[in-house]
Amino acid sequence: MKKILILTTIIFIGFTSCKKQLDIDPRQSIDFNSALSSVDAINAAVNSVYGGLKSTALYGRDLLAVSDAMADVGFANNKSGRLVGENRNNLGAHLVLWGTAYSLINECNLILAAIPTSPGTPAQKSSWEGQMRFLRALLYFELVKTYAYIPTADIPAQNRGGVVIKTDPTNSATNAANYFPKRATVAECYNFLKTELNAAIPLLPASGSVALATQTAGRALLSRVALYNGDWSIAVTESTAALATSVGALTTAATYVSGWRQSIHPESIFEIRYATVAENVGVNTSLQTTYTGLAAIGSPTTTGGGFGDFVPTNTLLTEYQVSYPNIATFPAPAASFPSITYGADVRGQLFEWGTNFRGTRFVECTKFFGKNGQINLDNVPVFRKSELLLNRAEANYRLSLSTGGATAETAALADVNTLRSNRGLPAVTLTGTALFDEIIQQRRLEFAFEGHRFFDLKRLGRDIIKTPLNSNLLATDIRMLPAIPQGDIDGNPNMLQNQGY
Amino acid sequence: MRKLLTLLICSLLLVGNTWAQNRTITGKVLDDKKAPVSNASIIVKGTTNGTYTKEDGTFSINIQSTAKTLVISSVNFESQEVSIGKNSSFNISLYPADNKLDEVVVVGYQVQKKREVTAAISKISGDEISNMPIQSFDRAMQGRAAGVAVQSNNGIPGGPVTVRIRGIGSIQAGNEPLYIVDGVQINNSTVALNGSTGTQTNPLNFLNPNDIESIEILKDASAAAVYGARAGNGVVLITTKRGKMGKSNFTANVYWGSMSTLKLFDVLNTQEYLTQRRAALQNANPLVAPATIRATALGEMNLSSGLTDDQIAALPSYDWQREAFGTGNVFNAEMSMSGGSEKTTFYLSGSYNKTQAIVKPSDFQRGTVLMSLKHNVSKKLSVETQLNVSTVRQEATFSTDGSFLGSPTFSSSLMLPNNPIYNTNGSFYGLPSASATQPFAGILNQNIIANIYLNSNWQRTNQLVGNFKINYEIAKGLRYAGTFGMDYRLGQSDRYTDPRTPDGVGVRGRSSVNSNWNTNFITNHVLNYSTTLKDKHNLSALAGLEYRKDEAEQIGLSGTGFATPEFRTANAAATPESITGFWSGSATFSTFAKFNYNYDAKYLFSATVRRDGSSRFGENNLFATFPAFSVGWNLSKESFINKKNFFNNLVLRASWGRTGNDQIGNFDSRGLYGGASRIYNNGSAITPSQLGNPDLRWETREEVNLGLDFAFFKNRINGSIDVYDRRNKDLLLGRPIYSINGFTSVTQNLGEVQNKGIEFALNVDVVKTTNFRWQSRFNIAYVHNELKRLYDTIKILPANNSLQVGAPLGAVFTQRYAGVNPATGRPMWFDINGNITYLPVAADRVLLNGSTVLPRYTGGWTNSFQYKGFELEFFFQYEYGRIFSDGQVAFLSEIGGRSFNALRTIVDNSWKKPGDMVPWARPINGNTEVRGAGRFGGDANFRKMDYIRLKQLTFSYNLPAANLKSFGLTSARFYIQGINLWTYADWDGYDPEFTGTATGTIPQSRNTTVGLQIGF
Repeated sequence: MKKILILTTIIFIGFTSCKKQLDIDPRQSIDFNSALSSVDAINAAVNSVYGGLKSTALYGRDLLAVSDAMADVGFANNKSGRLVGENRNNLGAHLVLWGTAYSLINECNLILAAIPTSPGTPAQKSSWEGQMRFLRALLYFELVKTYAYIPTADIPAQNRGGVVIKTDPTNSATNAANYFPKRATVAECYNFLKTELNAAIPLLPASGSVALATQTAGRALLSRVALYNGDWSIAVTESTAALATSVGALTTAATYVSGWRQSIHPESIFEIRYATVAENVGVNTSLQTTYTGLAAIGSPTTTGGGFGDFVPTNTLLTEYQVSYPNIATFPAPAASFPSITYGADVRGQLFEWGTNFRGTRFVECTKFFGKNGQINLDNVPVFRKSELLLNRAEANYRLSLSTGGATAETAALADVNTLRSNRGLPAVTLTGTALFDEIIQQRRLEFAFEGHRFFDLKRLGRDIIKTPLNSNLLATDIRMLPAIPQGDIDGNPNMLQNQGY
Repeated sequence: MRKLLTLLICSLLLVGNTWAQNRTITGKVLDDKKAPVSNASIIVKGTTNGTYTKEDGTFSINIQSTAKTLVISSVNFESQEVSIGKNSSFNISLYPADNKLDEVVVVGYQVQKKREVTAAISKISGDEISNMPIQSFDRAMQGRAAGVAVQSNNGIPGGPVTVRIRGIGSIQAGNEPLYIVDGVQINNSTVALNGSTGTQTNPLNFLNPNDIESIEILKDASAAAVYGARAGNGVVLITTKRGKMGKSNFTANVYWGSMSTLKLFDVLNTQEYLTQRRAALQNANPLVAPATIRATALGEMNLSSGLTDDQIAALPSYDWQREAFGTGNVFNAEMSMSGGSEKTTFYLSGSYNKTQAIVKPSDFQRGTVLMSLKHNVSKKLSVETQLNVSTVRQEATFSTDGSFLGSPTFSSSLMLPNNPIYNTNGSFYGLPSASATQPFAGILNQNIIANIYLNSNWQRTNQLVGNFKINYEIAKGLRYAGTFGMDYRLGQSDRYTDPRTPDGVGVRGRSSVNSNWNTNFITNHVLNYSTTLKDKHNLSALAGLEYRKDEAEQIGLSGTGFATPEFRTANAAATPESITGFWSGSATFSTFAKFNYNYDAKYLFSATVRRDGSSRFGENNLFATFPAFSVGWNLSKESFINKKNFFNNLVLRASWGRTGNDQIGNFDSRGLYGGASRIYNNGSAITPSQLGNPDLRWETREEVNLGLDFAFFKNRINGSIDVYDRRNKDLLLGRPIYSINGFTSVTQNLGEVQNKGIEFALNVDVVKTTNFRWQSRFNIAYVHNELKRLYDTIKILPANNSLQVGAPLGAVFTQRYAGVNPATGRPMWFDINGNITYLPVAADRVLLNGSTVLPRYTGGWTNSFQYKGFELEFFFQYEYGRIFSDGQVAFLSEIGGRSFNALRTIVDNSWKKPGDMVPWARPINGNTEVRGAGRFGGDANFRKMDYIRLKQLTFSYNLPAANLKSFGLTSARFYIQGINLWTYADWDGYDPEFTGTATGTIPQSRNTTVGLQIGF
């Protein structure tokens, strides 16, 4: 009896410190408000933004494959059913990067807000700031080029503005719930990008790993932004500056194909790195599986590959001088297949027969082929050196129409021929619109399956001519722009949805 | 000693009456199972003349010639009167007492007489669910308790079950009830160590259902409030069997059975598929020559484009479904022993169960040991323990659900029928090693049968659930009870993807192993006082406190690159692939008190209060208080109502209570940076994962319940009616914020959901004679579920438009399918104005009738017939009032839109030529017409899910005890049982009973078992 009473008393007393008993902290997360208070933590937070770029909604797949599916380079063959809607330009089948991009932008904003009071040397702080401003600008650029009209091909009647520019961090539920965003104008967006990049470039390292931001990467982005905004001389200046650095080097006709087989592409100025097998996007949505079902180069009878959902059109193959008997017949032959003949353009060699394990055999693109030692594990180039040549050529051509004159046109032609010769093609002598068309055509051939074409057509205001079988998409069609997620429109009187949604 | 006394008394009685008797009658008293009843009293009615039965149930008594009637009675049996007449030998069967009136129920930290309970509680006795070929008892609750909706997630043996008591009140927090086994709160999180590619395991697998004495379900808030913040979804109390003082009893029980498929899909053969695919390709490419289309379709099937029509007609078809779905079997053996002395009683049991599912290699193997021991140290002090140790091993198929190409359940019905399964020499067709010569045709390009035999994928759960209890009577009526309990679980999984299979060939095999530890410690200390004043005022009160701590930890790794398929352990991997780790924990501290009062069991009152503190709640809301009150009025005790004693029981009940739902994430209230998956450039990363909300707290449930318990015709008709209105408030909900913030939601307590319903349970002893008895039990529940409020003035949640004020949870908000244009075969929809459109837009969406998470009507009906030793029982279970879509059928309805097989009924009812008036559109490659929506947009794939199912049919025979005696047995029962023998449903899929999408799941099966149960 007495023992029991004592025991009970002890137990009751033991529980009086209950509030302390309820104090259980997570072990795999840290507190939000104090997270960015050490150098290591900020380094890791910076890494997280880079890591976020690997997302399928961004460079993991969509910015390359979905974008090209919407354009005129390829054909979604319905092997897994993926990209079919995008390839047909169905209403609502478009890039969906809004939420992913803004969550990364907020990470940048949080870090930028933490830097002034954070530990770290001035050099560390400026490096963080430069990288965050660069990455934020990159994300804003991808957003504005996708969700808004591009200044060089504005359609004022349908223009509902640019994207929302938010540079202050969201760090509490209260300020998040009371925030009613509003779209900036397209011009404001591009001005913001230029300001940000001009601020970021001096803070970035002159050279270093292409997996991280460098000054060259900043200039390459600014050159592309300028091209989209019609700032021709800025495009020329920045392209020239970026071409001059040793970050990335143009491959030659002899090294072009092997360049695509190397883990880090020799031309890369900035590429998204997928370093370890744990980062593999996987057999369903990686770029390799999207573009080819092959498991080994040159071996269409080896299984173990992916789907090969999105393949080049015969038109594109012909432009690469890739051919086989009856290439014009759709669809391509199935069980037996003729051998392919390649022309002088070395870029054609990245196309070869795929497998018939999941249906009809097509010629497939092998730009992404498990370069990092495992199937479906590829780094993704964001800026390659060759783009700067073409940016500069195009900008110089545009300048030649106004202030630049013949000098600029000659410079443009020289850049195109530099590229052509490094791709196994003879030099051409072209002027005027013929030269311009050649520049755009080289962009198409150089960057097919890399996500440029849709936006090149969009910024040039050109209709998208779909072959085979899908109906064409006019430049004025509302399907050129995706819908802004309805959740960001609902209940917000400030926010305008894109035309037609 | 007692027996001696009895004998003495008997002898005295006999001696005293010797001279007056004029004849002797003999007889035997048996129970309903034909086992002898000893110590039953036999008295001549109206006299003091009587005797007791012996151990073998026999008796002999001298009676006077005037004696007309014998009264036979025994504890736990209904007394029976037998007219004597001219017979001198009697065989008398006693029925177990329908002591519904004196039945006790466990109500949380105490037991109460059922008639004194003023809350809504359902009880299922262990007998009702014994020997069903199920792995966990939650499945057995299906259809047996009004208002408890039980749905098997799938047909995986030992897989999880969804249990919803009185509807569904939470949107993002858990809806699972709290399970308490012998006072230990069970951690009811389902551990699926390999995600959807591993097996699924039910947290209640640890307990052999045959070890259960009773299940009590606390349904309303006043019943559950004593469990406070954990009780918001109802509480299920499980009491395991205990030892009884007396002779040691042994029972042995064994059953075997087989399982078969309920249904296989009727899919197309090779020729029909080719026709269908050609039509789909041609419809998508109208300008392409038919010959080219023919060549393309043949090419896709890896057939030569030069085949003639005759050659095509001769092509074989292979039935992959029949190969993947086979028969399963079940074997269960168990033995138990119980007994004890005045000091110590015990119950020991051990069991082994092996169940092989209808889809190989999915299976379940379990061994359990239960020990229950009670020792009376002194008259005042007793100690007690229940200890359940179990090990469960489950092998899984390729994946439990989802559209995995390698999954036999997903792919077998969709595989192109011209793909062979085996080579002529019996080896598997189309393994990667032979890909050059044996390519697979179609999207589904894996030999799924080979996957079954080559891969391995198992999970093992070792679990210990135990408690140690001290009971001490401090003073008369005042008792202390202390419990220390633990639910400890170790889960391990090992998945090996064989390098010979398509998914393994690229990486030369992959092994992933995971280990998961769950520790749940609970202790509670309760003071219980009860007394009766002036014979009429019955008072009881209890006060207690409780502490519970949960921890979960997991590590896992995977590696690739195995020399040969014989090497299957992770250490043999050449390349480490990933390492995972996980830790989470929570703690609660609670105090509670309860007070019951009744006046002569006529006027009843009860009050409860509990205060909970939980580490899950935000720092501003760490503690919560949950009160409840209930009153009852036993009308049968009022002479003005029950003048002729017509009612055996008639209790009117009313209650109000508040409980909480703390099933929110352990750290949901915190603002966090996670060290998650965003590694980059070989460096680690930290990522903001959620915004904090220090105000975050439990969900509140308030419930009003009105009930009536009734019993009349000598208890032969009894039952209860309950109506309730339950409001779940302050729901845990991710309040959408504009994604421009970088987050899409913040977790807050918002909104309100109402569940109101009516429950009716009726038990009838339809026929009750000496030899024949027919009992019938019926229950039905209706629940109306409605979202009453969101936040601010929002009527439709921006991020999830299916959440609408006025609609039930799980509502589907989409466009209505309008059928097919008879002229073109294109699918059509209705726009918001009811006009036909080919391209429905968001504004055309409407709420679909009958779209809800839970069926509106659920229930069951049991009938049992006993004739002498024979017993026949059948049990129907039903659901009504819900629509849903079947994911597997959706794939099969593409009818050629992609290169996989199709369901014949859809093909037959699809558009083929102008003028066809049919429900389904023409096939088209890619499934989307030019400037049209996908063929399954809107509600095209939704169907009624209603069903009635003959869940259980049992025929048993209790061998007469007399025949058993020579074998040394006291009882023997032989039975044959069928599960899911018949279903009425208008459902295209394998089975209307599932949760989730039904894509690639293992469906329920039809089971037949035979068993033998003996006692000695």
